[in-house]
Amino acid sequence: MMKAIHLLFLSILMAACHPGHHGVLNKKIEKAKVGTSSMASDQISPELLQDIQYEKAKWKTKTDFFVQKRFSQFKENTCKDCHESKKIINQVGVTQHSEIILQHASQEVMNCTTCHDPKRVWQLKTLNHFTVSINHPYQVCTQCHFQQVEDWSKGAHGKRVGGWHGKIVRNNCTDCHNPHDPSFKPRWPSINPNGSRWIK
Amino acid sequence: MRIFYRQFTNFFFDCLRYSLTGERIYHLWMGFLTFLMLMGAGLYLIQLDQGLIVTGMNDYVSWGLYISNFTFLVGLAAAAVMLVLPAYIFSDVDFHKVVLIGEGVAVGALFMCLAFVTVDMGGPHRLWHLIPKIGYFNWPESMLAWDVIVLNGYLLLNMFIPMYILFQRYHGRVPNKKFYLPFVFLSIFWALGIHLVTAFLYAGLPARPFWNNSLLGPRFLASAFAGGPAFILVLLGAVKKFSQFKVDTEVINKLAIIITAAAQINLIMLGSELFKEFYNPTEHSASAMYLFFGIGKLNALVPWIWTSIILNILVTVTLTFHRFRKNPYILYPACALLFIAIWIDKGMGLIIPGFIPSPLHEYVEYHPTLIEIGISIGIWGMGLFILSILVRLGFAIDQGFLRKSEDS
Amino acid sequence: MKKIRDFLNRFLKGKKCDHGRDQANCCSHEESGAKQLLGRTMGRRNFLRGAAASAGAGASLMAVGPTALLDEKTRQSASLKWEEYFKGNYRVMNKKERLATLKRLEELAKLNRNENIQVSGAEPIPGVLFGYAFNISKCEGYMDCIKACVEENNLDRDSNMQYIKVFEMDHGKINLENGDAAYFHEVPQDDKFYIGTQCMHCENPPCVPVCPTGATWKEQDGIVVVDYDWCIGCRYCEAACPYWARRFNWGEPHVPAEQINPNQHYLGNRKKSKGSMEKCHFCVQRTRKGENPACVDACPTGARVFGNILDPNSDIRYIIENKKVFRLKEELGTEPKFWYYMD
Repeated sequence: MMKAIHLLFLSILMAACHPGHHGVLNKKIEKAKVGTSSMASDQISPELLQDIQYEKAKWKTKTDFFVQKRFSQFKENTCKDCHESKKIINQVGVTQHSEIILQHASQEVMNCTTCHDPKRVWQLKTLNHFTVSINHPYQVCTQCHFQQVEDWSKGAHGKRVGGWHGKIVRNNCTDCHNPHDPSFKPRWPSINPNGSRWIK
Repeated sequence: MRIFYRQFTNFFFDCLRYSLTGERIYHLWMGFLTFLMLMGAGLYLIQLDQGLIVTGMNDYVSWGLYISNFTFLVGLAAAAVMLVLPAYIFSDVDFHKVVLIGEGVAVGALFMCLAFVTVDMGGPHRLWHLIPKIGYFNWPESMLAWDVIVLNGYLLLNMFIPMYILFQRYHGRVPNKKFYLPFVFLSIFWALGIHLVTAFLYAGLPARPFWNNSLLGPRFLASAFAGGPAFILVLLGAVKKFSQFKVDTEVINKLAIIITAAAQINLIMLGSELFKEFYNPTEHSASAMYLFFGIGKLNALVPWIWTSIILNILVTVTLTFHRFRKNPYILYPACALLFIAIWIDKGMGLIIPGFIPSPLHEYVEYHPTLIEIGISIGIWGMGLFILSILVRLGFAIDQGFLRKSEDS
Repeated sequence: MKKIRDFLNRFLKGKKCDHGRDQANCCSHEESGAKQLLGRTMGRRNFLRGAAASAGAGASLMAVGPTALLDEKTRQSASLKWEEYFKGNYRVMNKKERLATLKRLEELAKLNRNENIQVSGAEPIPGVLFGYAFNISKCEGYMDCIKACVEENNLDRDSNMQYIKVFEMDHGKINLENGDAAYFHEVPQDDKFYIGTQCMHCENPPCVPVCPTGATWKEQDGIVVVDYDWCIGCRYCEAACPYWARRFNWGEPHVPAEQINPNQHYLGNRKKSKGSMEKCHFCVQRTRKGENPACVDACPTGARVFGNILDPNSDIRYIIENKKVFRLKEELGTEPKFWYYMD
């Protein structure tokens, strides 16, 4: 009798305990590998990418992705108006563009024409003088920052816009980094992290 | 059935009448406790209105004085088993006379436990969510659900057994052992249960390394079996001194032995805990570091815990010697000090350091507010109020002061 | 062991499996179990509700005075509040009941606080399990994520409640013991790096089984949610969380009317009451519509990546499979769905 009561207690206790569940996550992912690539749902809002202009990226990856258009943010003609007839002058701040202070690499490595096409300033160029559209600056950036661009193309660097679902549209390099001064600048945090309920 | 009903109402009203009459010192004592209760209730209204923001708790230290007291009182409630066990199982005649006291203490302590848990709730008006079927009772997963069951079950058991015995005695009958012994057996297991379950409540949290150790449950038991009987012993001393009831010296001697043994075991466990924390401290020892030595300027608990440890050692050593233990002038103060030591140790010394540092290793201290302290005192007042009534009734019926009058 | 547990569960709750822990393996039984349960509990609750509604109407009349003095608005709000008080646990509500409470919440917001809100009850998308990755070499400690989170999720402004913490860390150590999350000075500091924490949405969440009322559970898409109206405020889950992810409403939460985000979700950013627990919910009101959580969109450095870890082509899967990742306190077996990685 006593033994039976003991056993009952033990079994209830055991029922309350968690069975070993290490590796649950891996199992779920394994299981999903069969056939889950993309799922449609009526919950997903179709308007997420509506306000964004994007173009297919010129980059070889397993999955296609898109990049935000740079020319949606400023007009091609802004450059053309002045530069159409003139050659670029390879020294910033002499007559125009005094706002640009090149803080990217040392003078020996970089000047304006390292990235800008001297004949058509609204376009970029590679070191070997291939023309690159301003919509696809990563083709220029990757010449030095190949690891970053590689990461970016797979989603491990940079940002994706328009949510986690559907077409992959990424911010261009130049959406986050000012190409003339690419590092992030020190500033104050945008919120005080200290709650009013405690004193440290 | 009708007869039983009439008998029971008579019993009830007689008890009520008896509780309302008494000596002057009784009235003064009860009046004082009523004042504490009213104060606590008033302060609780403020807390209900504004929320737990009136307490010193925060997201870092999310359990404070309330749960500390709750934890300690579970121990007090379970200590009744130390009287029940020898009285019923080994048929020790001496203990039979005080076992009702033990059960009275258990009931009082359990009411305090439940009150402390209730005032700790953020949404007490939603407590009906715990009712199985109507609400959603997450049993057996949640240790808190277990605790709800064992506490309420223990409360019912401890109300039922003495009530049955007193009811029979009141009518001048001998209680039927065959009827109530199974419940006594059950209550013994149950007493271990409430303690272990409450310990598991904390020990089951890997997030809190200070609690997550297998010694927590046993140490709970050891300290409860020292602190609880110490309380009962002091209570018996007070009864002996201030009332007309008789208390056998033999009972007190035997209780003192139980207390001593439990306190000794408790010290051994404390030692092994300290050894583990400090011989080769890891980051999991951070809470113990904070508790015993403080971290930088944060050292609110240091004086408390050292008081507790010194008292613990002092009392245990003192009680170990027969000569001191037999001396009432040493025994009673020693037991009172032991009770305080264990209150500190099991209450704030266990609960609060579990939260400091936080799981992300941030140090935020906790200081209870006056409202919180006031509510806690009010609940203690309520517990002592219930306890006083029950103990007095128990003695009165057991020793023949209160009997069914022949004419009724 | 599992068998015993299932049996006990069935016996006690009339359901075949634990919704909180094992959803993926047992969703086929779920409906029948839930129905059984609903059939039984709802019947009683309806009875209770009826009784209470009449009692409540009486009480509110007594409190305010003669019926004539009671304006329509007060009466409506009182009756809605009573219905709300007696509603069930969202996890076991059926579709109809869920819709009813969503509607009541919207009406109450309009009546009492004059807010035009939409409370969604959007359900998990099948085949989706959300995961999150955090690049510790990119985070600069600007806390834009925290700000966005506070605004998106209608967090209590009075206590400055925040779900996210960003630790400023000394180089050479990864233990958070050496971090400081209370910094408020110009960042990034040269000799520091930064690491953010929030709810890790564990696959084995230690906070879920401890809840005595089942007010918190893991959804099908992996989000650990709280039914704020079912929580009794015991704070056991807060003690059980190894990542310090849960926040309690110690007082009545307060958000200025003009700062309210009206796009809400029942399990997400709707108004909480005092005495209830809340936590990061991966912005369920956004993510179930396909959007990113607010913290991800707000991060200026792109240190935060969010996605479906069941989708082999997702960014998050690329990171988990190709980057060197780690998770906090993996040794506890919680299986957090929040990975840290470095460039």
